[in-house]
Amino acid sequence: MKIREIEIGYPENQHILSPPDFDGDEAVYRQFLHQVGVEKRYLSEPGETASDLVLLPAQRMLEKLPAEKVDFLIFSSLTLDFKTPTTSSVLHHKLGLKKNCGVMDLPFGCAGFPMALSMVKGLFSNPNIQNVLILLGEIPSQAIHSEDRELKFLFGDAGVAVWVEKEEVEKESNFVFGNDGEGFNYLNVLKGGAKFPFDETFLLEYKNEPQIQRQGRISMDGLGILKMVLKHVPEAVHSILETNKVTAEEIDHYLFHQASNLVLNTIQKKCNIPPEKMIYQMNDGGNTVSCSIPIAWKKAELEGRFKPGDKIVILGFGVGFSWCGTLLRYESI
Amino acid sequence: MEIQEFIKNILAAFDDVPHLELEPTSNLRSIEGWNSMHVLLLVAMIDIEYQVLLSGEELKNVTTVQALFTLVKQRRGE
Repeated sequence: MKIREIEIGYPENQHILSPPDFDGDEAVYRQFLHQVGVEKRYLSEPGETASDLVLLPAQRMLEKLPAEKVDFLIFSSLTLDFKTPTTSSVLHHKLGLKKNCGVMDLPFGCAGFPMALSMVKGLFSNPNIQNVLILLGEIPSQAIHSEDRELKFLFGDAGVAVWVEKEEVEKESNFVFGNDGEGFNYLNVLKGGAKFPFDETFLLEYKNEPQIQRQGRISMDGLGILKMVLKHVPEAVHSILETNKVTAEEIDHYLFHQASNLVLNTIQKKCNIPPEKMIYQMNDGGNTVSCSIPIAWKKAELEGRFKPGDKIVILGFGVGFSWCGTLLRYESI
Repeated sequence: MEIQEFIKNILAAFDDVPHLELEPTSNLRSIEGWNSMHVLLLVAMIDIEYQVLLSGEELKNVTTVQALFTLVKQRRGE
């Protein structure tokens, strides 16, 4: 399983954070940059969907990967276009993929990318599947209240296309999965699903927040999430090393879901990871949910951080509280 | 577990607060620029250094460095 290419597509509207975002308080702004790490976010327009954001990077990818070679399409997003059919089915049609290319949606959140790769690993046991296109699109900014300062400067929107190619001899990448239902209380969007449909009270409450009327509202308890991270992430990292039969010393890079600098620093210290092995890419784009790992991968690659044969631990974690991770070896093209 | 070392660890966790000085009697919430992120930094430091995972509920009643130190000691059974 080889990550052959990654294409990133941000919305055009950029928000460069500055002191006026923090009531003109330079010190608070500096503190935010230090603790959270976001300098710039990209914001979709109200009504623009996650599937809209993946179209451009997907089209750019299809200039390198001929459409007839795509054997399977996975769409990872927390905001699907329709109750049914799948958004991957709609994207398959828009992109002109062949009829015998399978499709699947993966509404999994921050661990969506490693989870998609774990699906790809299974798909590659089928001799007819050689190339999988993973599209990841997230629009968290549209589920955040305009005055919710704690959340709105943390998250950003993005679309990503990843071409995963089957190797002649598949290298072993064993996956680690997990879930702790306690996390339900710490990060959720409760309204807008089958359990709690949007009702008149909700729509009236958010009459000045049309994006929330469409997408529901993200609620996050930062301390609760941090507790889940401290409780589960170190153990998951240990399991990834163990199940792939490697030692911590053999790992060249740790690429975690880009939740915030604070969370990444906490994991680095708790797991005793040498700081130079950590990948931090919060500054340009912020927390982009399931897009964050492939975006950070691509940027680290462009910075020349990866050498052929490097061992890279990837681990996504978040809403659920769920996690998924594995060990990948970097192959240059 | 020593309070001076505990204070040193808090200062290291709060490396974004310039010229911070802490005494056992210092009120944590009076730290310049105190915000919800500092609560997270404290919880993370205490878990990493002292293997105690505090809840928001436990922290609500804590105001001074000494009170926090005592709480962590209690949780460690010391």
